[in-house]
Amino acid sequence: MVLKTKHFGNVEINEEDIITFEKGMPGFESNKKFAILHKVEEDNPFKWLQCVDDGKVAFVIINPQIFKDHYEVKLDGVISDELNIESLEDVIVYSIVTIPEEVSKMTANLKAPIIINAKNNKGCQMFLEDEKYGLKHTILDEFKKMGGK
Amino acid sequence: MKNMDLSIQFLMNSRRWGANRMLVLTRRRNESIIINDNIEVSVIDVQNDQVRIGITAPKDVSIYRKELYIQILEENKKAVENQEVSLDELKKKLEG
Repeated sequence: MVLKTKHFGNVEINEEDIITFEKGMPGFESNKKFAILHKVEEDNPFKWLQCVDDGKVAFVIINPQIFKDHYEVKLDGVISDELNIESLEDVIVYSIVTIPEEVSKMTANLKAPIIINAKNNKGCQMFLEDEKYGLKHTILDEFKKMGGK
Repeated sequence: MKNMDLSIQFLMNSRRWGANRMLVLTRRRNESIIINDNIEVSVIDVQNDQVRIGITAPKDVSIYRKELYIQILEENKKAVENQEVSLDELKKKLEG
């Protein structure tokens, strides 16, 4: 199918690559189908989580391990049931990135990560109780703290 | 104050809440209420101004602490704005 996107124009995607967020996300409850877009030839930790039903809705996401050591997401039974998680190896975690005017101050939301079960392409936005994690972690600062690995 | 404004806006904007009314009732410790045949909200404990609540609900029912829900909603909305950037540009920032 052809997907209208905010940043890549029209993109051809396979139906089986569509990730279903049955409950949507806070503020985007009616947007249930998403696809992850990135340039195939390029190794970039940033990707787009593009809504399939609404081209205007797209989140920048990042693999949190790039800038945060030992990021711990404790999956509870509710999430495991919701996404039918059988093995932890199937679980992919992303953080949503917020980009202010000054791009280098971009932040990642470690409080409410995106959890995807790669086996069945079901996704959700989970809330972590852990006080260590907030809604705005400055990515470049955290990256430097890690020694820019 | 900002949060409160937002929550009111949220309640008014959300289709789920559009035509809702509020029912007010009194419960004691160990009493509960049943919603829609499949959700039970129990008062587990009451101490001063704190109430411990237990909720039994089917797994497709989302339950959130409202203030956290509002914060995440607000952050999600911000994340979708201001995106006149390319992934290449972001990668370059990371590489310094």
